[in-house]
Amino acid sequence: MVPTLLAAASAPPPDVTLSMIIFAPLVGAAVIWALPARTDLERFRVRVTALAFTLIPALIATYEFLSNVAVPTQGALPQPLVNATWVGGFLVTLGYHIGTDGVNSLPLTATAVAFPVVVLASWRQRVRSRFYFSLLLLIEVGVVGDFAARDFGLFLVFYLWPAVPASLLLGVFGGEGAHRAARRLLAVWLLGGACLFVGGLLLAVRTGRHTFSLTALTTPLTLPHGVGEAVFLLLLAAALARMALVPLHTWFVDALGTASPPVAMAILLSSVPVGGYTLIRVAENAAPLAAIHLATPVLALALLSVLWGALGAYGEPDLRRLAAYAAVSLSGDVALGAVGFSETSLAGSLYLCVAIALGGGLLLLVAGALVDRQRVLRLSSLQGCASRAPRLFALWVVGIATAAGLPMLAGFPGLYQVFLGTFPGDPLGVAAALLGLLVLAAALWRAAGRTFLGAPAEGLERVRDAQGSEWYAAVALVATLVVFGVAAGRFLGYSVNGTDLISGRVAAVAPQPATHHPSHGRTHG
Amino acid sequence: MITLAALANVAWGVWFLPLVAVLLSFLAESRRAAVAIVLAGTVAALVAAAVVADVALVHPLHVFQTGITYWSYPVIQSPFNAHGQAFLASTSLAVVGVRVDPLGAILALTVTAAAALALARLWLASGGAGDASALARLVGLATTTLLGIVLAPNLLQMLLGWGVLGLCGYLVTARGGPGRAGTAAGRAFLRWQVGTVALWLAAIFLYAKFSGAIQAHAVSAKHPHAPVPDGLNFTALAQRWQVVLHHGVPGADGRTLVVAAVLLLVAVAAAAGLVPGQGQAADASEAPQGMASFTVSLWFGVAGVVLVARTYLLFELAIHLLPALALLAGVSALVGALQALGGASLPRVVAWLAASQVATALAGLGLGAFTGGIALLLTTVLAATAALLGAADLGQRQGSLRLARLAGCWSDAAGRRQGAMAGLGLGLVGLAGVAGVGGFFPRVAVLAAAFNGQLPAGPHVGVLTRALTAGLLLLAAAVGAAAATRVVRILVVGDPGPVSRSGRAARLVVVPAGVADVAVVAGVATLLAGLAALPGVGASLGRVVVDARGVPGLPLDLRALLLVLVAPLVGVALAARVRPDRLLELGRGARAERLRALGGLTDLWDAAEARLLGPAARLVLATDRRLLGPALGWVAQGTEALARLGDDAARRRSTAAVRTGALVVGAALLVWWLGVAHAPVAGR
Repeated sequence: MVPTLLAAASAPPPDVTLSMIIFAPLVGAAVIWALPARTDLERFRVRVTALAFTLIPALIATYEFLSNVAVPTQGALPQPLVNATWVGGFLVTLGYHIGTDGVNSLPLTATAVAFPVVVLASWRQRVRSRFYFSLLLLIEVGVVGDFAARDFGLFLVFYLWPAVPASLLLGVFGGEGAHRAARRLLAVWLLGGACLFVGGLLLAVRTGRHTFSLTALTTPLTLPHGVGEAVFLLLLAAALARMALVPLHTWFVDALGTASPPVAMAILLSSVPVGGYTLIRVAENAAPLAAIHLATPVLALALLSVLWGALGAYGEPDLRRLAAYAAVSLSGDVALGAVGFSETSLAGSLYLCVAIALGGGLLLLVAGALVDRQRVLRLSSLQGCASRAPRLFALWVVGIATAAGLPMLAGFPGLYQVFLGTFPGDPLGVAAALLGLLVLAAALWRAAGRTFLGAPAEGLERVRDAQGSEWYAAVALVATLVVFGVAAGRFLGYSVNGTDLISGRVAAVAPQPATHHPSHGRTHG
Repeated sequence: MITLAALANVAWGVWFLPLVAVLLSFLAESRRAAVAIVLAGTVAALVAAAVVADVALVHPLHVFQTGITYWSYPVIQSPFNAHGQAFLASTSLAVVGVRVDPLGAILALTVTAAAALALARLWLASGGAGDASALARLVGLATTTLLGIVLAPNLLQMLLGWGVLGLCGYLVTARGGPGRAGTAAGRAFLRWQVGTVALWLAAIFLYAKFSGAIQAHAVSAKHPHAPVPDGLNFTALAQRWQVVLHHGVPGADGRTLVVAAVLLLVAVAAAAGLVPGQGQAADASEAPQGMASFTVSLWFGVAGVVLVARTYLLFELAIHLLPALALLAGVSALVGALQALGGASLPRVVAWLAASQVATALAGLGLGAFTGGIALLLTTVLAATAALLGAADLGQRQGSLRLARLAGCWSDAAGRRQGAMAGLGLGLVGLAGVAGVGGFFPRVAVLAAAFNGQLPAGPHVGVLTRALTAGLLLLAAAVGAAAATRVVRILVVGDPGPVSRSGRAARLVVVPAGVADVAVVAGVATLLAGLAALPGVGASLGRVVVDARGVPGLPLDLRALLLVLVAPLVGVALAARVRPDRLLELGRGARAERLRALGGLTDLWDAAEARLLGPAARLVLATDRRLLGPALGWVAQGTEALARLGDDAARRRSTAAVRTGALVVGAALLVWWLGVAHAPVAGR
C-alpha cells in the first residue's frame, strides 16, 4: 500500500498546458456571461476579458510550439500528452486523449494566435457584446480542441462544436442574406459531422478494437475491399465540407460574403485548416490504401477547386466574396498536397492551411473595412480609394501577395512544399495548379487595380483608412504572416517529422513500383 | 588583403544594407530624412559592392559561396516522393546565401550604382514632398531583392527574389499616377507573373529531376571531390547536367534538359521583355519621374539576363535552345527599336531603346558572346539611367514628357539645365551605340560571335540562325539610332507649335539645384563603361567575366566593328533627312498605332480574358448562383425539415413517421451488423 502511494505521489502530474489552451476560452465565455454589459465601461470590460482569454492560450501555445520546434525529431512524438478514459463500457471507449506533434502543432498554434486578432478586430462591437464575444470564444474551443484531439470521439465533438456558435454569429451579426448563409453553414457542418461519425463508427467496429483512439485506429491494418473505401469516402466528405472544395463551397462563399469581417475570419479559421487537417490526419491515416485508390478523384476535385476558385475570384465583383473564392482556390492546393502523400507535400498542405486562414483573414478584414464604410459591394464603386486609404491598400497587397505565393510570407513555404512534394507523382497536376495560381494572382491584382488604383470614383468621402483596433489587428496578422514566411525553416523540420509518419503509413500499404523506364523517368507500379 | 571570411561579411552587407536602411527609415522624422537614410544605405552597399568587386576581379577564377540553411530535413524513401527510385533526394535542403564571382560582383556594383543614382535624384528633387519616402523604401526593397538575385548561389533564392521584385516593380510603377500608370503596372505585373510561374515550375522540375539521390551518386562517382551543396545550387546543377548528358542517369536525359531550359526561357522572356513578353520596359517607364530610371534600367533587364547567365550551361547543353534564344532576342531587339522610333513620350522611347539593348545582350548570350552580352547589359543599365534621369529633369521642368510638348525645348532647357540635357544626350548616345560610347564595343563582340560562330562550349549555332540574328541586330541598331536621332532632333529643332517659346518659358518649373548633376554622373559613367567594356583588353570587365569561366575572350572582328560602326550611322543619316514635323508624325500614323498595339503576351492574355477567362468566370459564378448554391440550399432545407420532423415527433411522442423511420433504421442497422460487421478483416 505504502509503495503504491509513494509511487502515485512521485508520478509527474498530468500535463495541463494543452487543456488550458483548449479550455481557457471556455472559461472566458463563462466569465463573459457573468459580466454586466449595460454601459460602455462594462462593455469594454467584456472585450478586455475576451482578449485576455484568447491571449492566454495564444501565449501558452506559442511557448510550447517554440520549445517543441527546437527539437525537430519531437515532431514524431505527441507532446504534451494526456490520455484518460472519458466514456467506457459503451459500444466503443472514448478517451480524453490530447497531444501535439509535428502534424497538429502548427495549425493549433496559428489558430490560437489568430483568435486574439479576431477579438481585436471586433473591438467596435457594441451591440450584444456578451453574446458576440462568448460565441467567438466558443468557436476557438472547438477549433483548437479539434487540432489537439487524438481520440476520434473527442475529435468529432470538437468538429461539431463550432457549428452552432458560428451559425449564430453569422445569422445574428451578418449582413443581407446572412440568415440563409448561416442555415447552409449549419447544414453542411452537421452533415460533415454525421459523415465523420458514421465513418469513425464503421472504422471502430470493422477493426474490432472498439475504441476511438486515433492511435489504435490507425495502427497498420488492411480493411476489406469496399469497407476501407467507404470509410475514406465518409471521412473525406467530412473534410471536404469544411475545406470548402468544389462542389461543397457555396456555403463558404455565402458565409464569408455576408458575415462581418471578424466573424468571417473566425469562420475561415474554423473551416479550411480544420478540413485540411481532417483530410490528412484522420482520413488518410485511417484508410491509407483507400486513399491511394481514390487519389485520382480527389486530385481531380482539388484541381477543379483550384481553377474554379480562381475563375470565381476573376469574375466576382464583390470584394469579400472574391476573397472567399481565393480561399477556395488555395484550399484546392491543400487537397493537392494531401494526395501528394509525401511528407513534404503533407507538411506543405498544413502550412498552406495556416497561410489561407491568416492571409484570407487579412483580405476579409480589408474588404470588410471598405465595404462597411462605403456601404457598397462592387469594386468599381471603390475605384481609386488607395489615396484615401493607403494603409488598407498596403494590407490588401500583403494579403494578395500571400495568396499568390510571394516569398517572405506564409503562402510561399506552403505552396512550395506542396508543389515540390507532389511534382514527382503528379507533374501535370502541379502544372495545372500553377496555372490556377496564375489566374488567381491575376484576379487579385486586377481587383487591386480596380479598387485601389485609378482615378478616384465619386463619393469616396466615407472611405477612411484603417485606424485603431482594426489597424492593430491587421498589423498583428501581417506580423504573423511574415513570421511564418521568414521563419519557415525553423518550423518545417518539426512539421515534417510528424507528416513522415502519415506518409510512411501510406507508403507501407502502397503498391511498390515494379519497373522503371529510364528513358522517360516514370515507373509503372 | 581581404580574407575570405571578411569577404563573406562584406557580401552579406552588400545584400542587406539597403534593407537595413529601409527599416531604419521608419524612424526618420521627416520624409526627406527617410529618403536620405535609404540613400545612405544604398551608397554604403555601393561601397561594399566596390570592395567585393575589387577582390573578385583580382581573383577572377575563384567562386566564393556562403549560405545559411533555411530549412533542412530528411526525406523518407517512399514511392510518393517519386515514381520509383530515380528522384529520391535524401535531404530536402534550402539555402539562402551569397555567391561572389566576377559576374555577381560586377552586377551588384551596377545595381547599387543605378539605385543610388535614382535615390539621389529623389532626395534632391522631392524636397520631402509627396510620397517620396514610400518610393524610396520601395526602391530600397527592390534593390535588396535584385541584389539577392544577382548574388544568388541557387535557383531557390532567385525564385524568392523574383516574386518580391515583381511586386516592388508593380508598386513603384503604379505610383506613377491614376489610370495609365495603374494599367501599365498591372500589365507588367501580369507578364512578370507568367515568368514567375514558369520559374516556379522550372525550379521544381530541376529539383525533381536533378537533385535526387541517384543523380547525386552519379555525380559523386564522376567527381569524387566535388562539393555537394543544396539541390538547386548552380554549381551542383551544372555538374549534374553534364553527368546527365554525357554519362546518362536514370530518369533524366537530353529531353529533360530541353524542358528545363524552355521553362527558364519563358521566365526570361516574360521578365526581360522578349517577344511575346515585349512592352515590359515601356510599362515600367510609367513609373513616377526619376523612378523610371530605376524600374526601366534594373527591374526587368538584369533579372532576365542574370537568370540566363547563371544557368548558361543548361542552355548550352539543351539542343536548339541557344539558337532559339538568339533568334527570339534578335526579333525582340528589332521590335524594341521600331517601337522606340514611333514613341510619343520621352521615357517610353528610352524604355524601348533599353529593351532593344537588353534583347541584344540576350542575343549575345544566345550566340555565345557571353562577354559581350554581360558588358552590353552593364552599359545599357547606365545609359538608360542617364537618359531617364535627364528626361525626368526635363519633364519636371517643362511639365510634360510628351515629345510633341517638348519640341524645340532644347535651347530653353539648355540655357538653364545643361546637366539634364547632357545626361539625356549621353544616355541616348549610349543606347544608340555610337562609336566608342555605351554599348558600341559589346555590340561588336556580339556581332563577332554571329560571324565566327564561336561558343564557349557545346554545340555550335547554325549558320542560318547566326546570319538571321546578325541581320536582325544590325537592323535594330540602325532603327535604334534613328529613334535616338529623332528624339534629339525634335528636342533641338522641333517646332514648339502654338505654344510660344516665351509662353512656355513662363510656365517652366524651378527644379532644385543638383538634380541634373545626377544625370551627368550617370552619363559619364555610361561613357566610361562603354570604353572599359572593350573586349580583348586584359583589364576590361568582359574579359574578367570570360576568364572566370575559363574560356578565352572573343577576338576583335573587323567586319563586326565596321558594321556596328556603319549601321547606327545609316539610322542617324536617315533620321536626319526627315523634317522635324514629320518626325513627330512617325508616332501618329496608323502603322505606328498598329505597332504600338502589338501587346504580345498581354494581347494573348486579353484575348484569353475575353474569350476564355471572362466567359468561364461568368459560367462559374452562374453555376454557383443557379445550381450549386440552390442545391446546397435544398440540402439545408432537408436538414431543417428532418430536424423539424424530429422536433414534431418528440412533441407528439409517437407518430407513424417516427415508427416507420425507426423500423427502417433498425432494419438497416441489423442488416449492416450481420452482413458487414461480421465479415473477416484482412490483416487482423
